[in-house]
Amino acid sequence: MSEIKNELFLEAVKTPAEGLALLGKLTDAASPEAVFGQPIQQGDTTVITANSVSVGLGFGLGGSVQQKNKADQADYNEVDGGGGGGGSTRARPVAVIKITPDEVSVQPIIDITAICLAFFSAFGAIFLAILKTKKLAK
Amino acid sequence: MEKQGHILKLQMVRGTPHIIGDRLLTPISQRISLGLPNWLSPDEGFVLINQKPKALIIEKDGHAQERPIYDIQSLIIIGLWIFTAFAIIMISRNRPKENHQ
Repeated sequence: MSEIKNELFLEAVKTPAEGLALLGKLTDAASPEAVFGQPIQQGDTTVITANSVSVGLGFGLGGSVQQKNKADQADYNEVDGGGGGGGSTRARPVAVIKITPDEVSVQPIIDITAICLAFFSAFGAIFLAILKTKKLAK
Repeated sequence: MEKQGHILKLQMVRGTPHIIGDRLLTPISQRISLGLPNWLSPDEGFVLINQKPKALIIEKDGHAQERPIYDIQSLIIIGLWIFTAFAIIMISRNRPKENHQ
């Protein structure tokens, strides 16, 4: 429960299997266990948190083969290559499930800051549209 | 890790059931994954996964009841975006036309 999921880590991988295991760490973050937390009991009341989990990751690989020749050696191919990838996970609480001996209720969690930011952005865009229309009308 | 051979995949996932008191609670979540394994070239790819809670099945005395879980915050924000888009379209449509002589 107390495992840190939002740490930033940098890890070098030497084989494709290690790379897949590293990507698996990120996709495991979107498991059903991450969406619904473990029940927490306090007296007669039990609480389960419900989260929305998003995972995004990408990777790229590249390489080249160059034919080399040296005076004292036979021709040989030099292979260069590399790759990289990155990803991110994000979890946001959506609701709390409250279980009492009498009932089971689902209580939504609302981030007022996010709503206010969306509200001001929306009305800012509408205000700019009105302003532009008035300018064009003159 | 699941095989990334798809482009868009939508699935309902059942979580681990919990017995709390005399009830059996089974959480259901919705998983949307967008994966483009050969996006620009065979050596590049990306995957996006979003998993959100969808419902809770409550079983008691042989009766099952499904309780939906709504993401109210996302609904409000999406509603605001739709309202803004609609308002901007209406404002630009009602723009006074220029007089060309």
